[in-house]
Amino acid sequence: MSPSTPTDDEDIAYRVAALPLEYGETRINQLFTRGYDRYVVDGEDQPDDLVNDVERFGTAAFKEQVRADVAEEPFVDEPRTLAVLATLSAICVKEQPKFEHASPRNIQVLYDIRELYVNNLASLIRAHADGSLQQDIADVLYSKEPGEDGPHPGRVCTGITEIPEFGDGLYLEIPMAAASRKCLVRAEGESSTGSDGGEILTRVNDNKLYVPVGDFDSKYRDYAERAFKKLLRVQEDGLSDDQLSWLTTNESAITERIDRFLETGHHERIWRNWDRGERTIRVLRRALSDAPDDVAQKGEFHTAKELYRAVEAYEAEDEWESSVTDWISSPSSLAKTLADHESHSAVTIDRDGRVNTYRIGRAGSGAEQIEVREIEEIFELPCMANMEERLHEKKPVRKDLYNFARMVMWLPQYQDSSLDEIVADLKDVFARWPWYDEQETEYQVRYEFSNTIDGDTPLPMNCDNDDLQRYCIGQDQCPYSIWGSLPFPDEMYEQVEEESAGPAEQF
Amino acid sequence: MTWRQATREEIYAYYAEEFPRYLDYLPEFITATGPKQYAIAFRESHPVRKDEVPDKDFIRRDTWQTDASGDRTTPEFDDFEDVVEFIRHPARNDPLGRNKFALADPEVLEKPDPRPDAVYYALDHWERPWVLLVDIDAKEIARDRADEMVSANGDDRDDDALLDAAGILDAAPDGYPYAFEDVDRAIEYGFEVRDIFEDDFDAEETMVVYSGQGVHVYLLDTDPAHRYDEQSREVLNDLLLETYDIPIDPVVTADRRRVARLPYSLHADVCSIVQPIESPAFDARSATPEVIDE
Repeated sequence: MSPSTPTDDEDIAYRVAALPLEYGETRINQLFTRGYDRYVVDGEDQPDDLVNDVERFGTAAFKEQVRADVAEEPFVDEPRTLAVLATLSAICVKEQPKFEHASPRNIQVLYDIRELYVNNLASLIRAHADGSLQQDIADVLYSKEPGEDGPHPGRVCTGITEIPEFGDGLYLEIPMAAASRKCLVRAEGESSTGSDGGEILTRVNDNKLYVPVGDFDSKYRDYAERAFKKLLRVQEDGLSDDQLSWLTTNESAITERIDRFLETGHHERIWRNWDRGERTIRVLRRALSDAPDDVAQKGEFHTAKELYRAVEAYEAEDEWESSVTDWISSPSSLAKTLADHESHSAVTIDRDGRVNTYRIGRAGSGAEQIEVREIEEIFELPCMANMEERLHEKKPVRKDLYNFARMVMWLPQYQDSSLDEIVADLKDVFARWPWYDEQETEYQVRYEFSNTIDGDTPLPMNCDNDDLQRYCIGQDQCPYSIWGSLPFPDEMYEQVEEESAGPAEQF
Repeated sequence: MTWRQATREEIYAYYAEEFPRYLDYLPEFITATGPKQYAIAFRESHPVRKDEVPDKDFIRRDTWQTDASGDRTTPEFDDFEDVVEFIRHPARNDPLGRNKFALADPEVLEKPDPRPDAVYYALDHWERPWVLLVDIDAKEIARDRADEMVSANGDDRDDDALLDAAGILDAAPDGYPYAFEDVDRAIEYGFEVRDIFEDDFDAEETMVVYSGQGVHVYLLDTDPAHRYDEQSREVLNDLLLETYDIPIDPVVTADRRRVARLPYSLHADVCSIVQPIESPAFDARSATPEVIDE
């Protein structure tokens, strides 16, 4: 009889899904095969069902409440399916052209997918009730490095049990001969004379350690995060180019959701650890918008104390905002942060008075403002007027198109528009030039919009750009400036100094 | 009762006359060939045969010669008598013989016969698992006590100044960095640890040894459930220190290379016989050998 595999044995499938770091690629691929088998009905593949489920999983991962709820109630009911859907969702994200140059460790949406996977897996394992799987997992989580006496013979975890004299809750039972410091669980947030922090919660009885089961849960979450990385790698290695392009061609919901985040300026939904100065300034802007006019206003000079009052009163909406309001701990820390980011186009510091005052607003260029209701009004800028004239004579170079498309895309009236609307309006403008070809222009414009720089939506060119110099009448001659005169939204300025500096975590 | 350093003559007399009487009482695992090493500390450094090698105040000697893969080949001591001879006249009976790292030939020296200030055996063992020993030192207890008494007002004096300020240096035994009450407290802790071993760690074979300035507590069971490797011993240390609040020296328990004072050897700095004890009521002042003049 041939040995059982995850493809034909549910218990083994559970074990491989729970502990993929302990298995090789063959076993993991067998787990995936078992997962894909669910999308075969009467011998027929059901690719639409698979794509629907991948989209459902991927888009659900972007919802914080769903991710949290899954820790209690599984979203996907079997580990084999979970492994397939989570990895394919992540691949759909990684394959997006906008992430082509971005490091996966900076892409927030991948973390969201992983969190949904980890929470889902944890609740599946809890529901898989006889305890032997948990014991298998504990053997892995608490095993010690082999010492001079060789590996510990026998099980590391000899039971999961209640010990009434230790109070409520389950304990993992680990013989002293198998013990290592991994088994010493400590209370968090207490000071103690112990080298590693809080009081030891692990108990001793009968020559065995009793480890509170809560520690198992948190250790397993860490494990599952690393496990996801391995599953993803094996899935990526296992997909052929045809399968990959079939997947990305047929998936649209995840892509659309990400596009919408970008279009509506929700950078925090897309990127991790985006620039601290940017985040501070964005929160300040929001706090100023929320503050009553007699407290503080955007675009006016205020003391650090007044700005701090507005921040204090601001109710942070999400985690990244809270982290910003937390680190602004006093008027002086706010003043220091603003001084550190004085070069930001939105920050102006007036040091002439008795106390410094700060203005949070748009870059104070003093340039003449242009109201843009129609795209044509951009040609009020002398450089753009020069370009317009030249395009009657010659076909555009790519930089010209790029510049034009980006400038339009950042205009406030197009922030919430679909790409189709933007493309349609741009075609109307381009139709004035003799070289216009509808198909070609449509393709080129769409291409520009799909392009990103390290995942960020590219900024429109500013007056210092070399390619614009061809059309520039000279900055000292010009009453306008591109960034100062056009009504770009805050998000554009917030992205100006954005730098990516992510943690060392990787997918 | 004497609490002073033993003289060379007293040390010699102890190992010649009194020590052999205790050999029948040595714990069974301490044989000529069981512990992987014996070791001797000297009061004054003694030269070795090779000129360029510095004088030694501490020597370790393997009980077996080993082959390239570390397996035993030839024993260095035929029986415990040989070990006793080595303890009494280390230079004359050095197992290293004429090896260049052996103690120098007594025939050519002005001070030919170094005496052991202390005698040790290795906890790592050929015939049983690594011996588990917990060390509780009166010096540590005294320092903690001084810390509590004096440092509350926030100064950070050095150890001696601290002990002096706490009155510990002046208390009997005079001039030692602990008082008799600290030795007594160490002995009490030792029996607490023995009870913990028996009650919570299911130990059947335990031993508390008065070490001269504190105690050693042994957990001697050799069944698989008690074969604690280094990592398990680290856990034991953390539990004893934190959960049970016992002031042990954690380094000793988890270090396989450690040597321990040989039971019934003489702690020459305090004229005390190192010995297994049965009760926390043991009076350290009763451990002076007969050969020592009060």
